[in-house]
Amino acid sequence: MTGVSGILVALAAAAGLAFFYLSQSTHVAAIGYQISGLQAQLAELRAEQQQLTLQIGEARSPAVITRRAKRDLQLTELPAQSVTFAQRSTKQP
Amino acid sequence: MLARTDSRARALFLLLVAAVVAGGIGTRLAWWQVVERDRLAGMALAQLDQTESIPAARGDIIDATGELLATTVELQSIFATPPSVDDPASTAALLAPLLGWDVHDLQDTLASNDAWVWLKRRVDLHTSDQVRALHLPGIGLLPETKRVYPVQGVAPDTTLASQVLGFVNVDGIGQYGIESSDNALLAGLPGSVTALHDVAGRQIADSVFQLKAPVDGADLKLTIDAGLQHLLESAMWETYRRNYAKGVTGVVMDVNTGAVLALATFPSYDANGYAKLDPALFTNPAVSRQYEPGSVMKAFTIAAALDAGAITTREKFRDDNNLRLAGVRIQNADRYWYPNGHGRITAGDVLKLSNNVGAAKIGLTLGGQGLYQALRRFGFGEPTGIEIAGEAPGTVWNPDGPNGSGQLTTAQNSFGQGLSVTAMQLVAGYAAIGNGGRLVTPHVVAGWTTPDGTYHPTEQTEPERVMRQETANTVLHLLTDAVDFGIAQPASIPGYSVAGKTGTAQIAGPITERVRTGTDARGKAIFKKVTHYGYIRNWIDSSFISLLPASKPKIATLILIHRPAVWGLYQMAQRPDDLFRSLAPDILSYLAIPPDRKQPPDGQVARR
Repeated sequence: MTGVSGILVALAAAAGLAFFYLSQSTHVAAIGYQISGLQAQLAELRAEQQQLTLQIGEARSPAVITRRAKRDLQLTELPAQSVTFAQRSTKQP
Repeated sequence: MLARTDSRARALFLLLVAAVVAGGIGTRLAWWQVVERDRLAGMALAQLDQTESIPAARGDIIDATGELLATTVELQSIFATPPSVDDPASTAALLAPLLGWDVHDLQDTLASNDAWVWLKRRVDLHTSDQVRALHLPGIGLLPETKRVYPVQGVAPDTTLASQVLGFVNVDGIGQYGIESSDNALLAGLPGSVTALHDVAGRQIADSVFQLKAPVDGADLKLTIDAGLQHLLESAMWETYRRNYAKGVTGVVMDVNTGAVLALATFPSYDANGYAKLDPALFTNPAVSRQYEPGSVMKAFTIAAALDAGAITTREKFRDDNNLRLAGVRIQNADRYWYPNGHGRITAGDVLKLSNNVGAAKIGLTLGGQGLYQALRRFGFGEPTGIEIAGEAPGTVWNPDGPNGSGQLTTAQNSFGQGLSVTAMQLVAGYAAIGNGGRLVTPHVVAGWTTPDGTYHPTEQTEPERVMRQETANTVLHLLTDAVDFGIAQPASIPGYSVAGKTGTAQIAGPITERVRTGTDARGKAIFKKVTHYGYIRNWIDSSFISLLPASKPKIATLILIHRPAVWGLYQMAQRPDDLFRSLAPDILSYLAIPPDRKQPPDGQVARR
């Protein structure tokens, strides 16, 4: 009886370990797919970020700013001669 | 009814059959598992593992103030696998308006026997989202990168500084401009990964055999300032149109460092849509176009002669508007007003009057080899080394060499003919006059930032001294007088001292003429077309080059108008010196360079 029960216990332990291994490897595979999904999501977000950066670059173009300032805000350019340079004081404070 | 048989024999027979079958199976298994093991295992792995390239991210290009000039975005490309398309007609009806296809053409494509076909590459995010949402069988999306240039240029259908930047082709390789010359730095190095994949093509976790991480490209920072570039492009585009010119070039350079702050050229192009354009537009004429510069070279002739001690500023040369060398008569541009020349003139007068005969006599006084060696020392005849692809060296002939014509070559080179230069060489040469005699290397790349965030400023070679400081200062003074009192006076700016020189040079090329060769039997004249090389009537390059402010130059500028529409004696809608007068105050204001002279009353020149 002792020998048979020992074999049965060993078989049960082996079956348990096999089940544990299978469940863990399945879990790892599932996590792997989740990671792939998240990577795809990250790539999409990066693409959106790139688009936003691009739109910012376009909006900051001197040509776009000048056009909007003149057309939308009715601003006019000052002649360069109207610029005054402050003189640096030679006196010690 | 069946007969009885011996059960032992039957059992033995069955055992033998089972043993033979089992032995066969076992042998076959042993064959596969032992003898063929490696080959079969390899085949199995080959079906599961795949090596994929991991592209490196191309670096951005930013201007001197950090504004984005070029970046890379990921877009989706739409493809179809026609055999998998369920209903070509309805699929085409849904997709055609989104992808800009004709419905019937798309339907034909989707109904074809092709295994795989691109429908549209690199569509915008909105379109790719719409296509994805349709969930159409046989239609798929693949990510692809696209280089984009977000900053609009001044002219319609152009991007800012496109001929400086260049572009990236569909294979991801930089073409022209900085994109080409610094391609290795921008592109980085792609990596690769070898791993197991499932039947759906997804990588199985924890199955990576080999991983070579990609090295992303560096971000380039330019010396170009987008604001100043816009200012210069606006002015150059305006004069390009007003003059009906074939091309225009404008340069602003820091005389002390060689950093190019703005470089505007027209005609230009939109780097986002290069595929449909004439490739002739892609080269940057400031570095690739070689031309005869004309009178702007007189400053170098005088610098060379002064530096060698061949002349002094007080020495006078006789100008009788008639210098004959090797059967060629050299005359002045103002010969119609001064047919007998200006008499005895100094080197300063040569610049003020832009006098050809005087310049030629100074060059001849220095000597052919002296002038030739000096021009080579000033950087003419070899590329400057700027990081824009396609730079040309220009040509300076040795007067005593096989292509030289002795004294005639020397005399012509003295006033900027018989040699060719690039706009960038000229600006660098004038920068040497402005900075005390050192030849700086023009450059447009200020530095680069590697993916780890480390900034590497571009290392510049120590500028070579090409003339004595005293010589540079003297020539600078003479050039200032040329603007204050000479024919370049239209270029003077209230509040600032300007050193500068105008240049107008005819353009040489093939000329086809009808020449009478004789008469036929009936006495009728016979003509034939003859092509020879010479200066083409009304084809000129007109330029103005300056150093600002002349009292202590900070910038060198060049305005070059190539083949403007001219009438009379090279009259044109807007001369380069006129353009300079309206543009320079804006440049000085933008760069916050304060005036160095008191504001003069209208029509008068204020002295230092």
